[in-house]
Amino acid sequence: MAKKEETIHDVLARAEKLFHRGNFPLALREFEKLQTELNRDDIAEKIGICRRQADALKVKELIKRGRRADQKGSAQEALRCFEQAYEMGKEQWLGDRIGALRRQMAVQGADAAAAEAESAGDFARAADLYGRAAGAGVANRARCLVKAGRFSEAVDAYKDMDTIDSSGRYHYGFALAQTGRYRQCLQVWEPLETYNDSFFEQKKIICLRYAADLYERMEKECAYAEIYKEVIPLLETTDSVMDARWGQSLLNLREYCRYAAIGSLWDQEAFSAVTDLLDPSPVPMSWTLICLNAKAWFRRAEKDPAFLDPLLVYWLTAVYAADMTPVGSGEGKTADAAAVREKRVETVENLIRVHMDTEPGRKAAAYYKIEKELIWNLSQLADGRAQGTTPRICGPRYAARFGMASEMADLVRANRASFKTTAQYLETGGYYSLAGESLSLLCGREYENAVALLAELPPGARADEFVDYAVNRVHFEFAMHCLDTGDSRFSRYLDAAPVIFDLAPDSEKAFTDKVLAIDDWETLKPYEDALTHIHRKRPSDAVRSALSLVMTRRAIDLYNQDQLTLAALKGITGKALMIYPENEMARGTLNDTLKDLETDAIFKAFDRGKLNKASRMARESEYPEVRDSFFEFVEQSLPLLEKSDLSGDEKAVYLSDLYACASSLGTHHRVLDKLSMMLNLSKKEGAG
Amino acid sequence: MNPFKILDVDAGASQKDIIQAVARAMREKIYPGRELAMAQQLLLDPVTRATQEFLHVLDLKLLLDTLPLERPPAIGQDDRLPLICLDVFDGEE
Repeated sequence: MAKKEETIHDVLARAEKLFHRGNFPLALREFEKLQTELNRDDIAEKIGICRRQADALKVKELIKRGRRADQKGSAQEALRCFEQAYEMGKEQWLGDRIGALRRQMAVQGADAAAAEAESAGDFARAADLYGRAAGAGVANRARCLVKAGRFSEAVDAYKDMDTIDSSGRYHYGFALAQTGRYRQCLQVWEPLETYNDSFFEQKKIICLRYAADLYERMEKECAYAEIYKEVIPLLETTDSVMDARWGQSLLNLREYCRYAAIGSLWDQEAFSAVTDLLDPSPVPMSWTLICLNAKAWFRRAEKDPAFLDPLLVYWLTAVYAADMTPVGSGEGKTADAAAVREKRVETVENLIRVHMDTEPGRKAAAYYKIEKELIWNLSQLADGRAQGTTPRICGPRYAARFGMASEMADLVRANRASFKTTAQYLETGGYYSLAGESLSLLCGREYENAVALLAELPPGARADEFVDYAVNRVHFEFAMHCLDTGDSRFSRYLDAAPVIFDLAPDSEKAFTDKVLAIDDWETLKPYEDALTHIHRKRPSDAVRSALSLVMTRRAIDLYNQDQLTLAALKGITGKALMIYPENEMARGTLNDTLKDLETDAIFKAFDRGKLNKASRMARESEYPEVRDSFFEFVEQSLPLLEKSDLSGDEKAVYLSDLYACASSLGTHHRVLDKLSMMLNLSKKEGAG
Repeated sequence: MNPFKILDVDAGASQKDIIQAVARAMREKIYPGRELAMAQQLLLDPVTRATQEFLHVLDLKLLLDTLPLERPPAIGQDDRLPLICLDVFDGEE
């Protein structure tokens, strides 16, 4: 069958159908065919729509292909697609993407060229090419700048980098060194291991160059304080690379700058900066430096009592060391050394006095008093010792801080015979012992701290007699402090008291006098307990006497307040008398108590009508007062008898018994006459 | 108070120097007469003067003399160090 010929209407219908289905490329072809024949405006409009839509589809397709190529790393193909799409769509983002792709391709090209130049040793060109590259190009550029000898540019490049690897660190330091920045070079190189000999040598050269540079700056600029601060870290860095000679040279430079800086700060009266520079001090310390510390802290303590503490570390040591120097200058050289020393000691006393209304002032006063005595004692021992560059003698706190404690303790030990008492010998040595700081704390009444510090003593430290004494002293003082403040912990530390009392009877007397001065029985209780404890370990006359007295006084107080029976009072006073038979108070109280007890017993027997028993007790009593009491009871009973309902005979019998009992105690008492008279009357009444 | 500063004399001043300095200071009227009198008293008495010297005068010469300074050799010329750039750290992280 022959194909039916298409009419123009059929073509139009198909074109419309394709158009409405969105198949714009085919619709466009049909509409263009029709337009050549029909030349209609509506068809022209649709042709325009179809062309635009077909272009949009093509752009979409090109973008898709471009992205796919980009993902596969084919920048060239991606660029071609995006460029075609941009040509058709002119979209802004496509323009940006095309720019980025072009730059990326240029970088890749430059990177490759740079790497090639670097391999060929053309570092300057490589650096320039890396400059155009992105990412790792920055580090590569900096490295190539170093290799090209463009050190300043290299330093700038490294300075801006956030992270840096070991290679970069080395090259950065190298560039810094080559631009004269030795300190920064060593800082940058600090984390690098110096296992490589060549690198070790380079570091050594830079250290030497830096040291030479510092010397030059010191001579030209006199910037002592700055150079001092710079030498400190340099010494740490150079410790492993510099030989001993140049290491010492740097040490000397550091110390020279330090003291030169102190000199100018002193002239400016910047004493705070001076003391800052004095720390840390070399050990052992020369006497010149001790004097410098002493006077610098003095100047600070003039303004603030808090600095009395460091002042006292140095002052007396400085004063006693200064006798090695000419005393005064100019015409002052004629001054008497002892008088000058005395004046210098007094100068700090005056300063402390100014601050006596403050806690540091009070503590300083207490400590200074003790140290004055200690160092005076030592100065007497050390008179024959050879002079050296360091002080012959020093205060305990100076000794502890600067390693002279054992030397001072040995000096004390070697001169034991020079001390008047064992206590003085042990106390002096104790301040220079491992427990010396605790003893010093006692001066400021820092009892808790003093005891706490003893816990830090090494095991076996108490084998040393000075340490042992110091520990006992601290324990004793702490126990006394606890007693004074009502702290029950005193009992834990009382074992030290007998030791201290043995060594220092003055302490014992002071303690017993203090206890005996207490008049409040409640306050007295812990002291009585303390004395009882001490008495068990050390029943000395003073302790026995004090304990006996305290027991008696407290018992009387309690009895007077009805808190103790007569029998208990008798028991306590009896014990007190046994502890110290010379206690007259206890003896008297015991006698009175016994009399009272016997009188009570007689009264009770009398009251129960046991006249024979009462008279026997009175007769056997060694106290006349007790017998007198018996007669008093008899006399007091007579008026009652008279008023009683008893018959005359009964009264006569009772009176007769009473007379017999009373007369067994003696025949001359007036009560007997009265009894006799009443007996006769009763007999007459009975007869009547 | 620093009597050396008040009278503007150094540690080696003689008694004559001190008296002259007091006269000068009195004319200049920078310090009150009471302070000048005290400064004079402190410096004319050998014992108090020695103490004032101890407190106020700083002579570091003895200390500095104990520190021999030996400058290390300056390696390299014209601030350029004779160093070869090493590659021992290349390739390390």
